[in-house]
Amino acid sequence: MRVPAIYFYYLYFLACLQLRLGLSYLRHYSTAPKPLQENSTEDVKLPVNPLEHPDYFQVHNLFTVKDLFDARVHYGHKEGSLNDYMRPYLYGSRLGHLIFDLDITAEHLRKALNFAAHIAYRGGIICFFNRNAMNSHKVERTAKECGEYAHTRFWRGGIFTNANYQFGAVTRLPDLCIFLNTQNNILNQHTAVRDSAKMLIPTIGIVDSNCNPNLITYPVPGNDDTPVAIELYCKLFKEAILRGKAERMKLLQEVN
Amino acid sequence: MASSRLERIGTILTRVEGLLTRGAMKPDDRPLWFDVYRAFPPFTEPKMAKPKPEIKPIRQILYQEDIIRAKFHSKGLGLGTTNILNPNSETHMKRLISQYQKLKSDGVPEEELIEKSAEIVDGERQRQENIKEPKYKNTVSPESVTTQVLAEADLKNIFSEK
Repeated sequence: MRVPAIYFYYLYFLACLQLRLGLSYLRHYSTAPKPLQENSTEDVKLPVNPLEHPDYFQVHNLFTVKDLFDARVHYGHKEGSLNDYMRPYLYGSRLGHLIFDLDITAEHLRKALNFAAHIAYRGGIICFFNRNAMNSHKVERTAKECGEYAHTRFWRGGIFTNANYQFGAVTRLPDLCIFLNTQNNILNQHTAVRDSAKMLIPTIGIVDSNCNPNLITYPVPGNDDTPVAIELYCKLFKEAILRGKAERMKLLQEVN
Repeated sequence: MASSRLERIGTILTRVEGLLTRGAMKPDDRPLWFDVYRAFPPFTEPKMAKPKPEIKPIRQILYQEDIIRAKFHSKGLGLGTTNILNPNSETHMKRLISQYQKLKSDGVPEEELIEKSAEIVDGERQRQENIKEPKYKNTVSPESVTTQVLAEADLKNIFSEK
């Protein structure tokens, strides 16, 4: 059987890349030859690598654009408070009030939910953030229900950056921070957004039209004030995390 | 463990990759999210120093009915209470506009349209409110002490001095 020459080039390229990087963290890019056509016709179900599946946890069926619309996710703030970095996510302005394009929001939200599910699947610690007093109880309850953590109170500086000293012991920081609003008040960004970026922690954030999405790893443009919208986000992230954890439990039971 | 706290430079991914390629961080010590991020990168790089997007004028969302809305509002007839807990409830303005369009198709002259449709919608609302149950319902049971005391009391002559 002849193997196309391009395949060898590909292998050579990968080998070079690994040599240059001097390490093997590209382990999920398998260099082993792919199974032949005859093998795949058999009824043996090979375990799928979750990272190679585009939507392993089926987060795309968690919500529809109509659900977002009913939860009033499309409402932004007024035109005067617009952050220029939020312009690509807007649909338009209705008599001075900005309206988000929910198709864009849905794509971003699905990506964020998928990421959260993967982190939960790998046993990561997830922390919810919210600085709106009206919604904070809901957020804390959500975190409790999915067995994760929440921080909805005043942020003492250095909780992340000076953790070992502040808590008096070596501290494990969260592996993912989910911000249900990224502002402390209408003027200042939450310090944890900057500190997460400092400590190499990825972030998911609901960014309203007056927020800066730059430091958020997975920004989700949408309304971050309305209780109905926050309830929807809480429900979605909880479900995604629980799906990730359920898969993890299944995997651990198979291994043992 | 090595880390890079310069959040203004690059992204969290590029900083970790830098540490890994230079050997400051061992491949086994890489963060938990690293492989997930590489498999599902965000739509835009989370860079602090990003050029501002092209500033185009924001599209104005306008409808044909806005002309009718403006007519009602200029006469101060457009506002009414709306129940936002009920997703199927219609706003006052929506009722006015549908009534306006109905009357217009019936051939009512332009000058009377606003006043007439406002009258009809108001009349409908009043009728609905009358149909509804009375706001105060006597929930005191006939056997209770309150009922017995009130039955004996002579409320009409309560201030008369005998």
